[in-house]
Amino acid sequence: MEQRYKYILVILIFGLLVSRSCYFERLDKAKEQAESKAFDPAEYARDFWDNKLMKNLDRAVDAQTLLELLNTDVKRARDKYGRILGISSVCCFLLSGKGTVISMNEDGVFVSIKRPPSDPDIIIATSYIFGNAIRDASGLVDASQFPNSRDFNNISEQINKIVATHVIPPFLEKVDKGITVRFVGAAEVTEDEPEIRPLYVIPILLETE
Amino acid sequence: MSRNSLAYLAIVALVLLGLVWGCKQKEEAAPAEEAESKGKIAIVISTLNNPWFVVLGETAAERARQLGYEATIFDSQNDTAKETNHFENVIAAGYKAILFNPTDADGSITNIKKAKEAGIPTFCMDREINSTEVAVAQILSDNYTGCVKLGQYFVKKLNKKGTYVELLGLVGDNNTWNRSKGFHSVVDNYKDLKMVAQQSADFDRNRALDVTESMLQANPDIDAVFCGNDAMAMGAYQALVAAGKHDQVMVFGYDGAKDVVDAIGEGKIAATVMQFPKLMAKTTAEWADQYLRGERSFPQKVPVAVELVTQENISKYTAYGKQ
Repeated sequence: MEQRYKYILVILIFGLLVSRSCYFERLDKAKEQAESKAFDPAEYARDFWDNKLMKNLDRAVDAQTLLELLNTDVKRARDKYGRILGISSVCCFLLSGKGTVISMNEDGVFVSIKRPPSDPDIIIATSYIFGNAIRDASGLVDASQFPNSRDFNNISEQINKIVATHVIPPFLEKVDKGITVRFVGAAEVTEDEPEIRPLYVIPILLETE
Repeated sequence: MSRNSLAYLAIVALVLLGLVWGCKQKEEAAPAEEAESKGKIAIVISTLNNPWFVVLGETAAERARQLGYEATIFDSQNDTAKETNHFENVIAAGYKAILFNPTDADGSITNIKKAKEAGIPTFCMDREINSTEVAVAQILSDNYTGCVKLGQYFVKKLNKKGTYVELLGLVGDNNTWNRSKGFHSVVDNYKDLKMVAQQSADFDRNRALDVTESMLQANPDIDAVFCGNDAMAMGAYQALVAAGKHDQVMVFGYDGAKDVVDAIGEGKIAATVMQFPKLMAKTTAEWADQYLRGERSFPQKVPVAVELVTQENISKYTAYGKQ
């Protein structure tokens, strides 16, 4: 019996040593933590949002004007109002407008900006927010400033978090079919994709009337 | 001297004159041809073991030659020590510029720094370095955005639920993490999509085959494999075929390589993201030429857009580009 207890004790000590000396972690999370000391994307995104983006929203083009031009001449819309990151056929726009809520589903809130309202012209994203639309449409963040492009991309993730936590929840509490909404947001348009309406818009400011 | 003899002499003299004049012309022409060569450009590629990088390197070399340079391709074989040797040789041999696909985002910085100190400009293509101080410019695929698109398609194909594994590329390469981050920025929002294993296979087909085999032993019921490049996607597919699971498990790659574009067309691979290596390589060679002709205004980092390639839109694409 004593021998048995000895074995159990040895196994317990061994198990304790192993459990205290190693742990498992996702590779991407470990890498992220190691790099997070150098650059704080959340802090950068907060500063960008409060001190840069909010002060430049008056540059947003009227949604009606943009959609009309996109329907007739995408190239001109791009040259006049859009911003392109690097070498790309994807163009980003800051746009603002007012419209009537036609419907809502898990993709977002469908809004008609026509008078009288008819088919939806835009979809305001209200579920999952991802991509670089706001960062790139603003034209306020330059890729060349960042030695590591992961930092540049992490900024977008943090901007999207601000949208998901501060912009969308209060809007969803008030929004309903038939009401009027005012919006400022960012949208991406791919030049060779003919289907533009409804335009998918990542919101920056949302108000209900 | 007869009339005939005089005629022969005249003919012989004319022929000799023609020969002498022709040779002289050739002697003069030779240095002119040499003057047409603007010097040597080195193309240092992380590995030529992957056809995608072969296309990148050969396109850069071809464009450099079209622009009047002698071009030589160096293979670093994913080894920073070999890469360092190439840089030392390139500096010693008096190359005018380096078109560079780095092996390691941090480890390759010193090599570019040495070239810069020797007065040789370096232009990065496809892979970046973690510095904005040493290279003249870096022309890079927008990997993050590419994998945001791929992630959205992945969610759609899996109908927002299921289990999957991820094969990462080289841990020291930023492309690996930009792709993984872009993908997870979308997929992690869906709580019913669970990643059950994540492991590096170094962007290598054979490693991917081995890694997928062991992953399948531990997780036999997965629904999908997300791979950080097409070589690994082909390795993963091979492992699935061997396990008899290729019809149940969807494979997603990244690159737009020939075998994967073909496999998408045949319904074997679900999707990839098309990078444009020829566009990046040509632009890099042209910028190096502009630099050597005196231009100094280049953006440091230039993202190049990528496109999602699926079984629905495969007809628009060919290997390494659009139809």
